[in-house]
Amino acid sequence: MKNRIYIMCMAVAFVCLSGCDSYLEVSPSDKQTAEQLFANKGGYYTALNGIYDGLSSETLYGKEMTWGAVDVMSKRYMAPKGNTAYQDLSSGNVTSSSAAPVLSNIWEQAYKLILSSNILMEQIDNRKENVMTEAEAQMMKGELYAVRAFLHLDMLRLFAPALAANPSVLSIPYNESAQVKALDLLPANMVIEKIIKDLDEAERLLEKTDPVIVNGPMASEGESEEEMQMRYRQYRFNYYTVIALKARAYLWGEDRGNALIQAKRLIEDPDVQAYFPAVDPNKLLANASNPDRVFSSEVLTGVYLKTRDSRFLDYFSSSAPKYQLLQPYNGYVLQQLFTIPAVGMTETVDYRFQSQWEASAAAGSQGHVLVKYKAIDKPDPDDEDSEYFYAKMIPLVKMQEMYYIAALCETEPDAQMKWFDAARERRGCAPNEIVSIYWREGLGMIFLSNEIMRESYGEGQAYYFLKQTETYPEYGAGMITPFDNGAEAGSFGQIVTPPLPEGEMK
Amino acid sequence: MPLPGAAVYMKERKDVHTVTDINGNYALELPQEGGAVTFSYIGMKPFVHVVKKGNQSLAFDVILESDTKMEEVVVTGIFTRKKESFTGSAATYTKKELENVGTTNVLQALKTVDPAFAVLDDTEFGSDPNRLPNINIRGKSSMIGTRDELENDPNQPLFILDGFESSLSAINDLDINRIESITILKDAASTAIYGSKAANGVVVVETVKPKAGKLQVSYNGNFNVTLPDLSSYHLMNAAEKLEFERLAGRYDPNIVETPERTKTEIELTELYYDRLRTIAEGVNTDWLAQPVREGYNQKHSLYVMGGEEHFMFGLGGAYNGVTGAMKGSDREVMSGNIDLIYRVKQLQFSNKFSISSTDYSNPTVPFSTWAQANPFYKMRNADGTIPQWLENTDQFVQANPLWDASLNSRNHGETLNMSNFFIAEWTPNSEWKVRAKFGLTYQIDDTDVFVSPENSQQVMTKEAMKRGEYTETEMRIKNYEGELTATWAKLFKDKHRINLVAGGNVYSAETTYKGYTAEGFPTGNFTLPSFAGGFPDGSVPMYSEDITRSVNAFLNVGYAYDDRYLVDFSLRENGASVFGSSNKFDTTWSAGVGWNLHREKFVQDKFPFINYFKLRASIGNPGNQNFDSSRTLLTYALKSGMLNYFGTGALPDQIGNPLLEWQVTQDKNVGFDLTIFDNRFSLTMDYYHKVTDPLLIGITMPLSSGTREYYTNAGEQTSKGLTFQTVYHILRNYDQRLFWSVRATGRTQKTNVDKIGNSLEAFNNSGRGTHTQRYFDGSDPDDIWVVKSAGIDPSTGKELFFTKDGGFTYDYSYDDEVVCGNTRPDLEGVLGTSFSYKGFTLNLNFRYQLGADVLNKAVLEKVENVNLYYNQDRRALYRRWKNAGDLVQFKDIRDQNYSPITSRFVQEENVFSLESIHMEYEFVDGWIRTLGLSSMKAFVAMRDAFRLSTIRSERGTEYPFARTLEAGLSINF
Repeated sequence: MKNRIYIMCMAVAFVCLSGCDSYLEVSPSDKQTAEQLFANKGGYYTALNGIYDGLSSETLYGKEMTWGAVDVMSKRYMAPKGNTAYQDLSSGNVTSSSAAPVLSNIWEQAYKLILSSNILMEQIDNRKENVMTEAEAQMMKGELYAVRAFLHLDMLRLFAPALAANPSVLSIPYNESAQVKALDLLPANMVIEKIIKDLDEAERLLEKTDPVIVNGPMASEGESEEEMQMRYRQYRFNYYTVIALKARAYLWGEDRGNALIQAKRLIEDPDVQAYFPAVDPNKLLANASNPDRVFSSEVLTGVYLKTRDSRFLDYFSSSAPKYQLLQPYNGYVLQQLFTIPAVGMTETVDYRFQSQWEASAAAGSQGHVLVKYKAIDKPDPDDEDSEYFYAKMIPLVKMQEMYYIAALCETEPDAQMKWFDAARERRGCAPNEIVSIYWREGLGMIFLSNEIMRESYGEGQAYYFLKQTETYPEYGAGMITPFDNGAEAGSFGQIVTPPLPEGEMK
Repeated sequence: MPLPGAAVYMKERKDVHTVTDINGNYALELPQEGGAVTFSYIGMKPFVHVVKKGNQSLAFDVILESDTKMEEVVVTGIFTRKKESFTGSAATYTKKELENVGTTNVLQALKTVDPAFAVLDDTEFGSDPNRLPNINIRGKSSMIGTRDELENDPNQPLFILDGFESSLSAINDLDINRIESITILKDAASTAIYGSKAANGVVVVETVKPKAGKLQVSYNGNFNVTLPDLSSYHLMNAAEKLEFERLAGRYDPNIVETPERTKTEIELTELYYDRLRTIAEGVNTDWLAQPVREGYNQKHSLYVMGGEEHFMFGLGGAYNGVTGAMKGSDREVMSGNIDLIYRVKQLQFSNKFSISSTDYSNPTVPFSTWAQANPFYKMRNADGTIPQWLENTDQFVQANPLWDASLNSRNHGETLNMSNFFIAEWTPNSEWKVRAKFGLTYQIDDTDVFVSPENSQQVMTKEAMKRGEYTETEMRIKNYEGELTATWAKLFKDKHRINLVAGGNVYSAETTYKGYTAEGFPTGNFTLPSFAGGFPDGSVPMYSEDITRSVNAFLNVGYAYDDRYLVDFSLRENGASVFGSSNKFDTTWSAGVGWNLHREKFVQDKFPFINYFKLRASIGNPGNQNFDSSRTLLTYALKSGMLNYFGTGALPDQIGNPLLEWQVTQDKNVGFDLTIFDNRFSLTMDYYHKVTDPLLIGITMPLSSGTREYYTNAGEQTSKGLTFQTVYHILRNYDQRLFWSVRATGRTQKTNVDKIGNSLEAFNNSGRGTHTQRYFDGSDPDDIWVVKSAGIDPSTGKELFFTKDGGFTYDYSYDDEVVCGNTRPDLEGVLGTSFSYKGFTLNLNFRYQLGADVLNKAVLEKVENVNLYYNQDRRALYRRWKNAGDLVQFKDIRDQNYSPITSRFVQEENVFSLESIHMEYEFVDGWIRTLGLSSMKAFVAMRDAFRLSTIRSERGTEYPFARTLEAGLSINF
């Protein structure tokens, strides 16, 4: 009997000791561990797509960083009554209890994606052999460098004052590590340096690997799923986007010479002009079924917002609830936005006026509403799933911006005007003689500013342009910042730079 | 000493019994066939004398031995040891002792009886019956971050129910009548057998086991009343509130801030006089009185047991209804249990099965919402209907809480808990015992929350088609545990006693959680998900799971020489899945020594008044596993479905720290137990010193790090504390059966952290303006860090601050923060007294708490930093600065800028409360016998009868506190 007990005990001990190790190896099955995910190439693309999807989240470029918070902060719309966060952002009360979380979420989500990009880059470097080709790895890393630089640049432009004022003031942290750590705030000019460095690296990696250079954007489905990952380059940070971002970054860094060089690299490249042509008015105007209102052919990179149609109905459509409708005050669109300042000429010929604005139709409402993101018909009305590739696009980087950068960065008025007129021509507007007279007198900024406002509605870029140009001497006295939220029209110097969010190192 | 009232009876003959008279004499007529006569008396060991057949008349003197300290045992859940020969610090409480504190909640009872067992006051959720309390033994051993982690409270002790790991919620719902005893294991020597789970102490609960003998039935019934306690609230009445608004400038177009800045002077004046007229008409709504009620409920429990030597059984059933102090807040527990014991030769099999079903519901409008509403609003229209809005203008919207509460919204849940514990024991001889046990626990928790489409929040924020929300969640917990232990005990040469315990244990806990939300309900009584219009945009079903496993082997050796010198040693090898693949195993150990001085000849000779005197000391390194199991991993969350042209996507979900190490506490304890003067006076004292190194800290990261919280090992925490428990029997008159004793318990502690460097700098900085905890090397984690205030300048009504170097300034700067208090009381405990005369017993327990500092939230949020549009504390009207020269504590009534947290809001709190009062009468003899009852008791008890505090602060902001009055009857057949 006793022996039997001993044998039993020993058996139990043996089973325990040998089985213990694997028994204690618990990996959560409701989540994917990194090890499981990165077992094959598909996993890497899934992780990469996760980052792009993160960019299109409503916290970032699906809403707040394009047509939402930043546009509201640049006073593009009347403050919606039911939305205290937007009311406060619009009136510059950026630290209020309802406005602060919106900004804090932007910041948090952006840095989350930056860390995610860094982690993915590390995983690519540590990949198992033969999971993917070297070219594939380089292309993926190139895009990740670009995403990282892009997000940092926008955080800098949003949460730090314009660089010209004080280039060495501590601004934001720059995260280049895959480890979780507290990061120091860096001077703005150092952040710009790091952004340029990352963009250089992205350019180097994409130069030889990005199919956009040979094939253009390829905005259509490919033969196979694998091939798909190399297509739709406008929904990815491609080689040309990197160059555009360099121009953008140099401009914010007040290095106008280099900004101009980068902008011209795109404008003057015939390939780029062929791949990313200006919007075709024949397809756009008088087209009620599927107009390309975001001018997708010029978009170097945009995000895919799956819920775009419903967001339009919620926020922009004349039938949107009053308390959240985003709309400029009555009369602004025609009398201010599409009227050349100082000249007083209203330009209804502008493609943007014709395709992106509609007179409000609902009872009791007035003025114009922005229809840039209005739903369009499906190419095959019988197929629920069919759609034009631009139907859900929100533009992030466009060719048009390169013309503006060039116009800003040229030193001679005539050279400036050359780019300005070229940009307007792309929108169906003819050169104006009076404008050129004023321009030569040093008042060019008024016109450029008006032009950029027309272009950037719903895309968020107005905020950064106004913040930066407000500091320029030529943007001086008597200049009217085109505030469009009605109540504050005409006041000056009201682009507010929010402080770093609570929960950030101070 | 003669014992009056001692029972003398024959077990097998019900009719043969008597009691001793006042001089301890007795006479008993014995039956012819003879038999066993039992002599018993409470507090004494029963004595059995067998009378031979035919030997009917004899004189027999009996001396009963005292049955106090000597027979006490410590039940660790794995083994049982005589208390006298145990070197650890442990306290055992019987059911009777717990009942005497006048509550039917096990955890609340433990709080009163044991100074080391702390149940933290929930100043937010007050007496909410559906909230589990926060508990710790001997203070916190972890300081993990900043957030309340409900599932994995890192300071929660380990609960053992009948030898198996259990949960806080199971113990909270446990019927107190099922309890046989509860042992609290406090130091390393007593908890080491639980190794890496033991750093927070262990609570060992043993339930009643069926005993052989004739059928016994016991019934306990209880009726209770819950009375809301709103005495901590001092809100303004309608006239006061309007006057406050006027003074603060709500009706002054030059002062008023958003949202009324757009109103003209005429409109504002109109509004003011409008309200003034309403008040003159007599409107003064007492909003606080609306959501509360007096709750009446009852509690019943029945236990039947019986059987003979080989087979014993027990069947129990209980109902416990709690009616919360807020309307719509209820909790009902129904439970049943079956206990079986089967003995054959050297084997014993026992099985305990229990099942409990809990139904609970919560109020749909939190108490704080009612407290916000202004008293000058009318609750109902003239025709008795309830308006949805109290105020609804373009600038400001205030919903009527009564409207929201009257809708068909609900917040309801159900829990089903089943457990089966099986134990097989083999006792081949008196030295050996081998025990195998296996336990299964299964729990389902379903919640079902419906928000009516007419709910004000829904109406304000959603378009008509999307209003109304239904959320259902389901949580399932599956636990199993198996254990094999062998114990061996032997006494050599009457001097050397050796105890040996060795064994192994396997434990697994699996939790899955899932749920979904649907929206878009029609108005009317359509509250089920089948009426939903769809799912919220972009929402996906919730799902998560967590699996924790552990495998352990342990060994405990105890050696006693002549019962005088005691040595204990424990070793445990722990394997756990919690700490990543690189850190699966860990070893914990403990050693203890003890010295029974009362057994020493020289003590017995020189200090004959000493009855019991034991010195003990222990050291060990128990660990802590109350952490989420996947904090070491990098995991990705998959976004399924087509996101864009490229298919699915995944983002890092949890960025774990693969280097995370076990948190280990080095725990030292010295203490003594002393009983003197014929057991009249007893004192137990323990000094403990706990060093947790490394700490596992959840660091709040700056948002730019890409994650909010990150777990890392850093720093160490040292806690030193002293606890004592003492009893003095003032009166002990056995003749009159008159007893009176007083008792006191107390606890004091000091804690500091070290070696954290600047790893918590981000946390410290993030706290500026939001919380008052700062961690620096050498600082006390419970310190309150704020800028020291010099008070309100009487000439300007502005606050004046002290700079760090003692100067004055009007400019607030976080750099001037200093320690302005400590939230931990200097001394806390219970003073109690018991009085009994014949069958009557009275127990009172007063809690005292001295020298704690608190950040008075009521002052911070309802006197200053107020929202003009909500009702506020009276002090906002009476104690704020109004005119030059006012010497007051609070700043200018017109100043609506944010007042940063300063020492003005930190106040010292001393509390004295009557925590429990319990009165009982036991019917021993007489008429109850004629009813066929063997005993009967009736009692009345009240919890938290009064509470005196030196500060005025709102307690129970989301749910009010309450007083509970209970009356009950307990009957045994």
